[in-house]
Amino acid sequence: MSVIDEVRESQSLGRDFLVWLWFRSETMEEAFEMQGGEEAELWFEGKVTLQSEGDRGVETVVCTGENVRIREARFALAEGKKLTRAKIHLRAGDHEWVFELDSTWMNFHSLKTPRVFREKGEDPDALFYERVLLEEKLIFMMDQIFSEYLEARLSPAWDTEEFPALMRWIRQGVK
Amino acid sequence: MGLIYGSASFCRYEVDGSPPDNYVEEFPKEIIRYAFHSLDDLPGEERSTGWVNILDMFDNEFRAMEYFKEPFIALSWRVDVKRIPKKALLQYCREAEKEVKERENLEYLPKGTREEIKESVRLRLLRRAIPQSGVYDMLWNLQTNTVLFGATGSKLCDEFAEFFRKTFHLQLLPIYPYALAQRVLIDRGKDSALAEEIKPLYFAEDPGA
Repeated sequence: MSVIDEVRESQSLGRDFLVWLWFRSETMEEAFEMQGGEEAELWFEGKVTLQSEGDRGVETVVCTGENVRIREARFALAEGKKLTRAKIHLRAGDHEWVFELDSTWMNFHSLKTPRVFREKGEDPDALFYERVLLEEKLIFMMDQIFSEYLEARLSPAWDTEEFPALMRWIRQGVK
Repeated sequence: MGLIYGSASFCRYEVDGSPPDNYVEEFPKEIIRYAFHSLDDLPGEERSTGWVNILDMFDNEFRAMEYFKEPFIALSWRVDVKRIPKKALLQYCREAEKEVKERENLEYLPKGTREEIKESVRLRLLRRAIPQSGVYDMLWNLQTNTVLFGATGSKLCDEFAEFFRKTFHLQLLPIYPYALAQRVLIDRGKDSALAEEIKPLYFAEDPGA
Protein backbone atom coordinates (compact mmCIF):
# COMPACT_ATOMS: atom_id res chain seq x y z
CA MET A 1 0.00 0.00 0.00
CA SER A 2 1.35 3.45 -0.89
CA VAL A 3 1.91 6.03 1.86
CA ILE A 4 -0.97 8.17 0.57
CA ASP A 5 -3.35 5.19 0.64
CA GLU A 6 -2.18 4.25 4.12
CA VAL A 7 -2.67 7.84 5.32
CA ARG A 8 -6.19 7.88 3.85
CA GLU A 9 -7.04 4.47 5.33
CA SER A 10 -5.86 5.39 8.79
CA GLN A 11 -6.82 9.07 9.00
CA SER A 12 -9.35 8.36 11.74
CA LEU A 13 -6.43 7.69 14.10
CA GLY A 14 -5.32 11.34 14.02
CA ARG A 15 -8.86 12.69 14.10
CA ASP A 16 -9.88 10.58 17.09
CA PHE A 17 -6.64 11.48 18.86
CA LEU A 18 -7.51 15.19 18.53
CA VAL A 19 -11.00 14.59 19.95
CA TRP A 20 -9.58 12.61 22.86
CA LEU A 21 -6.99 15.33 23.45
CA TRP A 22 -9.69 17.98 23.55
CA PHE A 23 -11.77 15.85 25.91
CA ARG A 24 -8.82 15.12 28.20
CA SER A 25 -7.69 18.73 28.22
CA GLU A 26 -11.12 19.84 29.43
CA THR A 27 -11.92 17.09 31.87
CA MET A 28 -8.69 15.88 33.42
CA GLU A 29 -7.76 17.28 36.76
CA GLU A 30 -4.09 16.46 36.49
CA ALA A 31 -1.56 17.50 33.88
CA PHE A 32 0.11 14.98 31.56
CA GLU A 33 3.14 13.50 33.23
CA MET A 34 6.16 13.47 30.98
CA GLN A 35 9.21 11.24 31.15
CA GLY A 36 11.52 12.66 33.76
CA GLY A 37 8.62 13.79 35.93
CA GLU A 38 7.88 17.11 34.24
CA GLU A 39 4.20 18.00 33.91
CA ALA A 40 2.58 19.33 30.76
CA GLU A 41 -0.68 21.22 30.76
CA LEU A 42 -2.55 21.40 27.47
CA TRP A 43 -5.65 23.21 26.29
CA PHE A 44 -7.53 24.03 23.09
CA GLU A 45 -7.97 27.72 22.44
CA GLY A 46 -8.56 29.87 19.43
CA LYS A 47 -9.71 27.59 16.67
CA VAL A 48 -11.00 24.12 15.84
CA THR A 49 -11.86 22.94 12.35
CA LEU A 50 -14.35 20.17 11.62
CA GLN A 51 -15.35 18.60 8.32
CA SER A 52 -17.98 16.29 6.95
CA GLU A 53 -18.38 14.71 3.58
CA GLY A 54 -21.84 14.30 2.17
CA ASP A 55 -23.96 14.74 -0.93
CA ARG A 56 -23.04 18.41 -1.03
CA GLY A 57 -19.30 17.68 -0.95
CA VAL A 58 -16.95 18.56 1.88
CA GLU A 59 -18.52 20.85 4.47
CA THR A 60 -16.18 22.69 6.84
CA VAL A 61 -17.05 24.27 10.16
CA VAL A 62 -14.45 26.52 11.76
CA CYS A 63 -15.11 27.49 15.37
CA THR A 64 -13.04 30.37 16.63
CA GLY A 65 -12.94 32.30 19.83
CA GLU A 66 -10.91 32.66 22.96
CA ASN A 67 -12.52 29.61 24.42
CA VAL A 68 -13.45 26.77 22.13
CA ARG A 69 -15.27 25.05 24.93
CA ILE A 70 -18.19 26.22 22.90
CA ARG A 71 -21.28 24.23 22.16
CA GLU A 72 -21.09 24.71 18.43
CA ALA A 73 -17.96 22.61 17.98
CA ARG A 74 -19.09 19.73 20.16
CA PHE A 75 -22.50 19.89 18.52
CA ALA A 76 -20.75 19.39 15.17
CA LEU A 77 -19.01 16.29 16.57
CA ALA A 78 -22.35 14.89 17.67
CA GLU A 79 -23.63 15.55 14.16
CA GLY A 80 -20.92 13.32 12.75
CA LYS A 81 -18.42 15.97 11.67
CA LYS A 82 -14.75 15.06 12.00
CA LEU A 83 -12.19 17.13 13.85
CA THR A 84 -9.45 17.92 11.34
CA ARG A 85 -7.38 20.66 12.94
CA ALA A 86 -7.04 22.42 16.28
CA LYS A 87 -5.09 25.22 17.85
CA ILE A 88 -3.36 23.93 20.94
CA HIS A 89 -1.51 25.52 23.83
CA LEU A 90 0.96 23.42 25.76
CA ARG A 91 2.70 24.57 28.91
CA ALA A 92 5.56 22.81 30.68
CA GLY A 93 7.39 24.60 33.46
CA ASP A 94 7.87 28.24 32.45
CA HIS A 95 7.56 27.45 28.76
CA GLU A 96 4.49 27.69 26.56
CA TRP A 97 4.08 26.53 22.96
CA VAL A 98 1.17 27.49 20.69
CA PHE A 99 0.53 25.59 17.47
CA GLU A 100 -2.07 24.04 15.22
CA LEU A 101 -2.07 20.30 14.69
CA ASP A 102 -3.76 18.68 11.72
CA SER A 103 -5.27 15.24 12.02
CA THR A 104 -4.30 13.76 8.65
CA TRP A 105 -0.51 14.02 8.84
CA MET A 106 -0.18 15.38 12.37
CA ASN A 107 1.91 18.18 10.95
CA PHE A 108 2.61 21.20 13.12
CA HIS A 109 1.44 24.57 11.79
CA SER A 110 2.18 28.15 12.86
CA LEU A 111 4.19 26.99 15.86
CA LYS A 112 5.21 29.69 18.28
CA THR A 113 7.88 28.39 20.61
CA PRO A 114 8.67 30.05 23.93
CA ARG A 115 10.50 33.28 23.19
CA VAL A 116 14.21 32.93 22.48
CA PHE A 117 16.03 36.03 23.64
CA ARG A 118 18.83 37.12 21.40
CA GLU A 119 21.52 39.49 22.52
CA LYS A 120 23.50 41.60 20.10
CA GLY A 121 26.69 39.86 19.11
CA GLU A 122 25.54 36.54 20.52
CA ASP A 123 26.80 33.38 18.83
CA PRO A 124 24.10 32.49 16.22
CA ASP A 125 24.64 28.82 17.06
CA ALA A 126 23.42 29.51 20.61
CA LEU A 127 20.16 30.83 19.18
CA PHE A 128 19.97 27.84 16.83
CA TYR A 129 20.34 25.30 19.61
CA GLU A 130 17.93 27.06 21.94
CA ARG A 131 15.22 27.24 19.30
CA VAL A 132 15.71 23.73 17.92
CA LEU A 133 15.76 22.12 21.35
CA LEU A 134 12.45 23.84 22.16
CA GLU A 135 10.96 22.38 18.97
CA GLU A 136 12.30 18.93 19.70
CA LYS A 137 10.99 19.11 23.25
CA LEU A 138 7.50 19.90 21.99
CA ILE A 139 7.60 16.97 19.56
CA PHE A 140 8.88 14.68 22.29
CA MET A 141 6.04 15.73 24.60
CA MET A 142 3.37 15.41 21.91
CA ASP A 143 4.66 11.94 21.02
CA GLN A 144 4.39 10.94 24.68
CA ILE A 145 0.82 12.23 24.83
CA PHE A 146 0.03 10.31 21.63
CA SER A 147 1.56 7.25 23.24
CA GLU A 148 -0.72 7.76 26.24
CA TYR A 149 -3.67 7.88 23.83
CA LEU A 150 -2.65 4.57 22.25
CA GLU A 151 -2.34 3.02 25.68
CA ALA A 152 -5.83 4.25 26.57
CA ARG A 153 -7.27 2.92 23.29
CA LEU A 154 -5.69 -0.51 23.77
CA SER A 155 -6.73 -0.76 27.40
CA PRO A 156 -9.82 -2.82 28.42
CA ALA A 157 -11.01 0.31 30.30
CA TRP A 158 -11.48 2.13 26.99
CA ASP A 159 -14.88 0.57 26.25
CA THR A 160 -16.13 0.57 29.82
CA GLU A 161 -14.87 3.90 31.17
CA GLU A 162 -12.97 6.27 28.86
CA PHE A 163 -15.16 6.15 25.75
CA PRO A 164 -18.47 6.45 27.68
CA ALA A 165 -16.99 9.46 29.54
CA LEU A 166 -15.91 10.99 26.22
CA MET A 167 -19.42 10.52 24.80
CA ARG A 168 -20.94 12.12 27.91
CA TRP A 169 -18.63 15.10 27.41
CA ILE A 170 -19.70 15.48 23.78
CA ARG A 171 -23.38 15.29 24.74
CA GLN A 172 -22.87 17.97 27.39
CA GLY A 173 -21.92 20.26 24.54
CA VAL A 174 -25.17 19.48 22.77
CA LYS A 175 -27.60 19.91 25.64
CA MET B 1 9.50 32.13 8.92
CA GLY B 2 10.97 28.72 9.53
CA LEU B 3 12.42 26.35 12.04
CA ILE B 4 14.94 28.88 13.33
CA TYR B 5 13.22 32.25 12.97
CA GLY B 6 9.57 33.24 13.29
CA SER B 7 6.66 30.81 13.48
CA ALA B 8 7.21 27.32 12.11
CA SER B 9 5.10 24.92 10.08
CA PHE B 10 6.69 21.58 9.45
CA CYS B 11 6.30 17.91 8.67
CA ARG B 12 8.33 15.03 10.02
CA TYR B 13 10.18 12.13 8.44
CA GLU B 14 12.03 9.07 9.58
CA VAL B 15 15.22 8.33 7.65
CA ASP B 16 15.21 4.85 6.17
CA GLY B 17 18.75 3.65 6.82
CA SER B 18 21.76 5.16 8.49
CA PRO B 19 24.32 7.63 7.19
CA PRO B 20 27.62 6.00 6.15
CA ASP B 21 30.32 5.78 8.83
CA ASN B 22 32.40 8.32 6.90
CA TYR B 23 29.52 10.78 6.45
CA VAL B 24 31.68 13.64 7.72
CA GLU B 25 33.83 13.19 4.60
CA GLU B 26 31.10 12.13 2.17
CA PHE B 27 28.24 14.50 2.90
CA PRO B 28 30.16 17.77 2.32
CA LYS B 29 30.89 16.64 -1.26
CA GLU B 30 27.23 15.85 -1.89
CA ILE B 31 25.99 19.04 -0.24
CA ILE B 32 28.29 21.13 -2.46
CA ARG B 33 27.18 19.10 -5.48
CA TYR B 34 23.55 19.91 -4.73
CA ALA B 35 24.10 23.44 -3.38
CA PHE B 36 21.82 26.18 -4.61
CA HIS B 37 22.78 28.05 -7.79
CA SER B 38 21.32 31.42 -8.67
CA LEU B 39 19.12 31.56 -11.76
CA ASP B 40 21.49 34.29 -12.99
CA ASP B 41 24.05 31.50 -13.46
CA LEU B 42 21.56 29.22 -15.22
CA PRO B 43 20.44 31.00 -18.40
CA GLY B 44 17.13 29.75 -19.74
CA GLU B 45 16.12 28.04 -16.48
CA GLU B 46 12.93 29.12 -14.73
CA ARG B 47 13.52 27.21 -11.49
CA SER B 48 16.50 26.41 -9.33
CA THR B 49 16.63 24.37 -6.11
CA GLY B 50 19.46 23.55 -3.76
CA TRP B 51 20.99 23.72 -0.29
CA VAL B 52 21.93 26.95 1.48
CA ASN B 53 23.16 27.80 4.96
CA ILE B 54 20.25 27.57 7.44
CA LEU B 55 21.40 30.80 9.09
CA ASP B 56 22.09 32.67 5.82
CA MET B 57 20.07 31.96 2.68
CA PHE B 58 22.67 33.75 0.52
CA ASP B 59 25.48 31.40 1.53
CA ASN B 60 25.74 28.35 -0.73
CA GLU B 61 29.45 27.73 -0.20
CA PHE B 62 29.51 26.34 3.34
CA ARG B 63 33.20 27.23 3.82
CA ALA B 64 33.15 26.16 7.47
CA MET B 65 30.74 23.23 6.97
CA GLU B 66 28.33 25.10 9.24
CA TYR B 67 25.64 22.50 8.59
CA PHE B 68 27.28 20.10 11.05
CA LYS B 69 25.69 21.16 14.31
CA GLU B 70 25.95 18.10 16.46
CA PRO B 71 23.73 16.05 16.62
CA PHE B 72 22.08 17.76 13.65
CA ILE B 73 22.69 18.35 10.02
CA ALA B 74 20.97 21.69 9.50
CA LEU B 75 20.39 23.14 6.05
CA SER B 76 17.84 25.17 4.18
CA TRP B 77 16.41 24.09 0.87
CA ARG B 78 16.08 27.13 -1.36
CA VAL B 79 13.68 27.19 -4.30
CA ASP B 80 13.88 30.13 -6.70
CA VAL B 81 11.31 30.53 -9.44
CA LYS B 82 11.10 33.07 -12.24
CA ARG B 83 7.66 33.46 -13.72
CA ILE B 84 6.81 35.14 -17.01
CA PRO B 85 3.18 36.25 -17.14
CA LYS B 86 1.46 34.35 -19.97
CA LYS B 87 -0.15 37.47 -21.39
CA ALA B 88 3.17 39.34 -21.43
CA LEU B 89 4.78 36.43 -23.31
CA LEU B 90 1.92 36.44 -25.81
CA GLN B 91 2.12 40.18 -26.35
CA TYR B 92 5.91 40.22 -26.91
CA CYS B 93 5.64 37.19 -29.22
CA ARG B 94 2.97 38.94 -31.32
CA GLU B 95 5.15 42.04 -31.63
CA ALA B 96 8.23 40.01 -32.56
CA GLU B 97 6.27 37.95 -35.12
CA LYS B 98 4.85 41.12 -36.69
CA GLU B 99 8.35 42.58 -37.01
CA VAL B 100 9.66 39.44 -38.75
CA LYS B 101 6.64 39.26 -41.06
CA GLU B 102 7.09 42.90 -42.11
CA ARG B 103 10.84 42.57 -42.55
CA GLU B 104 10.59 39.42 -44.65
CA ASN B 105 7.35 40.42 -46.35
CA LEU B 106 5.49 37.27 -45.27
CA GLU B 107 1.79 36.83 -44.64
CA TYR B 108 2.23 33.76 -42.40
CA LEU B 109 5.17 32.44 -40.41
CA PRO B 110 6.04 28.72 -40.41
CA LYS B 111 5.39 26.92 -37.11
CA GLY B 112 9.13 26.35 -36.57
CA THR B 113 9.87 30.06 -36.91
CA ARG B 114 7.07 30.97 -34.50
CA GLU B 115 8.51 28.53 -31.95
CA GLU B 116 12.01 30.00 -32.37
CA ILE B 117 10.59 33.48 -31.82
CA LYS B 118 8.70 32.31 -28.73
CA GLU B 119 11.84 30.75 -27.23
CA SER B 120 13.93 33.84 -27.92
CA VAL B 121 11.23 36.09 -26.37
CA ARG B 122 10.98 33.75 -23.37
CA LEU B 123 14.74 33.94 -22.81
CA ARG B 124 14.71 37.73 -23.16
CA LEU B 125 11.87 38.13 -20.65
CA LEU B 126 13.44 35.59 -18.32
CA ARG B 127 16.58 37.73 -18.09
CA ARG B 128 14.42 40.63 -16.94
CA ALA B 129 12.31 38.65 -14.46
CA ILE B 130 13.11 38.80 -10.75
CA PRO B 131 12.99 35.38 -9.07
CA GLN B 132 10.76 34.60 -6.13
CA SER B 133 12.66 32.79 -3.41
CA GLY B 134 11.30 30.19 -1.01
CA VAL B 135 13.53 28.95 1.79
CA TYR B 136 12.57 25.84 3.76
CA ASP B 137 14.61 24.72 6.74
CA MET B 138 15.67 21.13 7.23
CA LEU B 139 16.90 19.59 10.47
CA TRP B 140 18.22 16.08 10.46
CA ASN B 141 18.74 14.74 13.96
CA LEU B 142 21.37 12.04 13.54
CA GLN B 143 20.69 10.62 17.00
CA THR B 144 17.00 9.93 16.41
CA ASN B 145 17.47 9.67 12.62
CA THR B 146 14.46 11.90 12.04
CA VAL B 147 14.07 14.95 9.84
CA LEU B 148 11.97 18.07 10.30
CA PHE B 149 11.17 19.91 7.09
CA GLY B 150 9.80 23.44 7.27
CA ALA B 151 6.83 23.10 4.92
CA THR B 152 3.58 21.12 4.87
CA GLY B 153 2.36 21.21 1.25
CA SER B 154 2.32 17.67 -0.19
CA LYS B 155 3.84 18.55 -3.57
CA LEU B 156 6.70 20.54 -2.07
CA CYS B 157 7.35 17.89 0.59
CA ASP B 158 7.49 15.13 -2.04
CA GLU B 159 9.93 17.16 -4.11
CA PHE B 160 12.05 17.82 -1.03
CA ALA B 161 12.11 14.12 -0.10
CA GLU B 162 13.36 13.31 -3.60
CA PHE B 163 16.03 16.03 -3.37
CA PHE B 164 17.13 14.66 0.02
CA ARG B 165 17.39 11.16 -1.50
CA LYS B 166 19.53 12.45 -4.37
CA THR B 167 21.85 14.28 -1.99
CA PHE B 168 22.23 11.78 0.84
CA HIS B 169 21.22 8.52 -0.91
CA LEU B 170 18.70 7.80 1.85
CA GLN B 171 14.93 7.59 1.64
CA LEU B 172 12.65 9.72 3.82
CA LEU B 173 9.57 8.01 5.26
CA PRO B 174 6.79 10.42 6.26
CA ILE B 175 5.66 10.30 9.88
CA TYR B 176 1.86 10.35 9.98
CA PRO B 177 -0.50 9.04 12.70
CA TYR B 178 -0.41 5.37 11.76
CA ALA B 179 3.36 5.34 11.22
CA LEU B 180 3.83 7.19 14.51
CA ALA B 181 1.60 4.68 16.29
CA GLN B 182 3.73 1.81 15.00
CA ARG B 183 6.90 3.61 16.04
CA VAL B 184 5.56 4.36 19.54
CA LEU B 185 4.41 0.76 20.04
CA ILE B 186 7.82 -0.59 19.02
CA ASP B 187 9.53 1.89 21.38
CA ARG B 188 7.35 0.51 24.17
CA GLY B 189 8.35 -3.04 23.35
CA LYS B 190 4.94 -3.89 21.90
CA ASP B 191 3.80 -5.40 18.62
CA SER B 192 3.40 -2.66 16.00
CA ALA B 193 0.47 -4.60 14.50
CA LEU B 194 -1.58 -3.50 17.53
CA ALA B 195 -2.05 -0.18 15.70
CA GLU B 196 -4.40 -2.00 13.32
CA GLU B 197 -6.68 -2.88 16.22
CA ILE B 198 -7.52 0.77 16.82
CA LYS B 199 -10.78 1.24 14.95
CA PRO B 200 -12.44 4.56 14.06
CA LEU B 201 -14.68 6.11 16.69
CA TYR B 202 -18.19 7.37 15.99
CA PHE B 203 -19.54 10.25 18.01
CA ALA B 204 -22.77 10.95 16.15
CA GLU B 205 -26.00 10.66 18.13
CA ASP B 206 -27.64 9.51 14.94
CA PRO B 207 -25.39 6.70 13.62
CA GLY B 208 -26.48 7.54 10.08
CA ALA B 209 -25.14 11.10 10.37
